[in-house]
Amino acid sequence: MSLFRFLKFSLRQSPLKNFEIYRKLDDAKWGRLVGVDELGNRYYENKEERYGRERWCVPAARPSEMDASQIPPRWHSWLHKTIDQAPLATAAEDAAAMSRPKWMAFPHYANYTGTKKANVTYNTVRAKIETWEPAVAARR
Amino acid sequence: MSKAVVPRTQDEIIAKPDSAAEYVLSSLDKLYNWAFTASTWPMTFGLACCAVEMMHMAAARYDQDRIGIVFRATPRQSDVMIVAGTLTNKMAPGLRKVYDQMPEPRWVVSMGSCANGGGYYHYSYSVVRGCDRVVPVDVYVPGCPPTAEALMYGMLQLQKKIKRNRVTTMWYRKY
Repeated sequence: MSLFRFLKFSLRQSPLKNFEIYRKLDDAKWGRLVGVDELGNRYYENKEERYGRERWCVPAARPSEMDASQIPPRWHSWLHKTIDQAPLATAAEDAAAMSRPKWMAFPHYANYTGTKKANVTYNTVRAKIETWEPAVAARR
Repeated sequence: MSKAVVPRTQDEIIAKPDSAAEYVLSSLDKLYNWAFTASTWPMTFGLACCAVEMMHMAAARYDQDRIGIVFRATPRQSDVMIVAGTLTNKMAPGLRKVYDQMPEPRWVVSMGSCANGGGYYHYSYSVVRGCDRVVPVDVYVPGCPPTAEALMYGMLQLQKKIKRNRVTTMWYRKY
């Protein structure tokens, strides 16, 4: 990152905000706030950025708990320029504005791996191994 | 009437210690875990095309070095083993030997369908149906092959798992 960019970044926003952005993104970013999702993640856009870096997200979680799966699917597609229109605040509004599949959870939840809600597989078919009850034969 | 005992998760034990001793020890654990998450050196076990994606993770775009992952070509000095690709019967003893040569604590990331459960070669006569038949696996990364992003996410999940470690707290509980 150039000194010019760093100075520009430092002067644009408050030091507290800059610290948060540096801590979470490891980069100097400034731009227009496009929206906030149900988890509190903030989404920004700056058209003057280099191609492919115009849209980004400042996660609500602390840096140690940040996870890629905290971004809701709609916002994910906005970030990756699959859609141009930013998702709306509630599921109903969002569904009215654009075709939102019903399977998309609202509010969105992050990956449950490593928590109590983690997915545990179970078998739904007949067991492939036949077990038997071993019994001691009676003495004669 | 007694209240049902709900077992606490590792996260909760580390975050909310019960006693003074646990308070000290969980802080020690946190320090230990921090040191490990900051430098997880993977032993590369590139067996097939997944290895190419593993190399992508090391390259400039995903840049694993920034989260402290540096490939180490010797098992003696590595913490994680990334099993990338099809594990054949012929390679299985080698994999186990390399795993045994790694110092404790050690972790294994199984990368791709073939390493997870045989994948495409599940019914082959010469392929191990998942590397978890040979070594204990911590993180399974699905995909055929998984993208570099997916592997990176898997490594971050592994870092989360390392953060749940509680070596000294467990030692205290034992005595």
